[in-house]
Amino acid sequence: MSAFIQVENLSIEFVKYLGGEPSLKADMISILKGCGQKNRKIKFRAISGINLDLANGDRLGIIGRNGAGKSTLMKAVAGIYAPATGTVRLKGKLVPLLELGTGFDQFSSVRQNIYLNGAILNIPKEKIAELEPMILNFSELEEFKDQPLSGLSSGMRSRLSFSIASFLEPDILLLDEVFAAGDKSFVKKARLRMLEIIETSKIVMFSSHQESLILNVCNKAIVLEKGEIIFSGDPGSAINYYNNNIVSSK
Amino acid sequence: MTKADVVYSAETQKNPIIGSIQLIKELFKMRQLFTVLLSSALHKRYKGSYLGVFWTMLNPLMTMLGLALVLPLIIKFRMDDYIIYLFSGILAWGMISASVVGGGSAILANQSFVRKVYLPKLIFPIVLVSAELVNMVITAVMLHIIALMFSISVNTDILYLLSAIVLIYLFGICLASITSVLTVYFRDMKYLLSVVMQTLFYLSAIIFPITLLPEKYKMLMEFNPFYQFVRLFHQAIYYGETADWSCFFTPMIIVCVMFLLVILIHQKIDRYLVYRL
Repeated sequence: MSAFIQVENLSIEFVKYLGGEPSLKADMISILKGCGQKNRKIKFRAISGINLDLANGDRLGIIGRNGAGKSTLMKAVAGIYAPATGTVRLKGKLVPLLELGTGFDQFSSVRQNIYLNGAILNIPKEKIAELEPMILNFSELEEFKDQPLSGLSSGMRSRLSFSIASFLEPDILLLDEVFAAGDKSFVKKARLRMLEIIETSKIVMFSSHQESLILNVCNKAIVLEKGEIIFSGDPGSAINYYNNNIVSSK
Repeated sequence: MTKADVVYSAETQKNPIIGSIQLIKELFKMRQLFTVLLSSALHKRYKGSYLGVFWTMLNPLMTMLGLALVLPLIIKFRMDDYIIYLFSGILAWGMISASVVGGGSAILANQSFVRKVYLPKLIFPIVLVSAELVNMVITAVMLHIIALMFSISVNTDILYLLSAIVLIYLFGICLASITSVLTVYFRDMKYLLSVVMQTLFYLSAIIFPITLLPEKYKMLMEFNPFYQFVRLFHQAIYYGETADWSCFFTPMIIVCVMFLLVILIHQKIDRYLVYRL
């Protein structure tokens, strides 16, 4: 089976509230004061007009400064953010590794969280039962398996989510570099494992600030700036473009 | 070119009927998540122990006991088997109030999943109300056992009760779906909801029989949707064998209308809720 990602003219729009959290009280007050709700809200485009076409074997590196829209683009591909314009089409089992600590329930045990994490990605229960010992083993959390997640350190939690994702055999892998976090020995192990999953996945979207990783792993790269693709090509020239036009101009 | 599994588009929601069908399909696809979430919710509630079941029942039991002891002293009405009347009303109210108040935080409490992948958010209120359903059934069984132990005669119409439970379950899902979305948009809604529910508790003929009301107010009670559901439980448990099946008419219409409303609202805004979290 072949996997693909097609992104056409994709834009994502965020709504920001100037007066903090939206609340009924605040709305009532603004109505009483005679000014509408509208001036408390601003819209801005996090990414706009993105076109991508990825097929089997593609490893796309995403380069850009903080806030350029790298994670927003990947979250839109994962379907978390609904598009304001355009379309995302996917084929294949998608596993996102984007934001630390998501997909977990703090008050459930480590084991239950493995099942929860599998279930939100629609992995059959039998499959997860089969993977559970391997996940516990790789994350070195066997002795904590019946403890609630809230009792684990943040490093342990990121180890768990990385380990789960690494065993799910994705067709499409969305990866933010922050994910290979943990203590020194785990980072080493995770790096190797990450390269392994990247190898076995059909399509990878990968954002990183480490040029050597992008060069090693990817066969395509894009440079994002203010939510738009300003360069698209092979990884080497993308990194050059980024360094010459964005990094040095600041 | 092969066909895509998943399409996220800005245009899919234009047609509400296609949107609704899509939403229901997505929900059905998530049935495994439903069982995992439900079992973890129940596990948390009962903490894997038999005593846990007892603890969660303590709340309705104590409310009932308090009311049953105090109310006959201050209110001048006599009613046979008042405690059974009270119990049937509180059983229904427990479900309604948990759906409205608990539903308020259903989506917010599960933000962590919403930020991981795309999910139909409707699944969270459904899980919440389903856990409440389990609790309700356990409470009903336990209270019957307690009544037997104290040799209070209860002649519950089981079929009537089961139908009432199914209907109130659907009603609860509708309520929770609506309040879960409202609370995402207005975070202070949850305080408002619990105050409103407190007032409605006294307006839903749970602690007093409706026959006590003057004729003109009795008519007004018909317009209280919560009373419509509380009455079903009065009929099933308190009136038992003489239960009136025509009481199902209005609640069924309410559930159908609300269900359509919920589906229509969700297919429209489900995808955009994440921006408000």
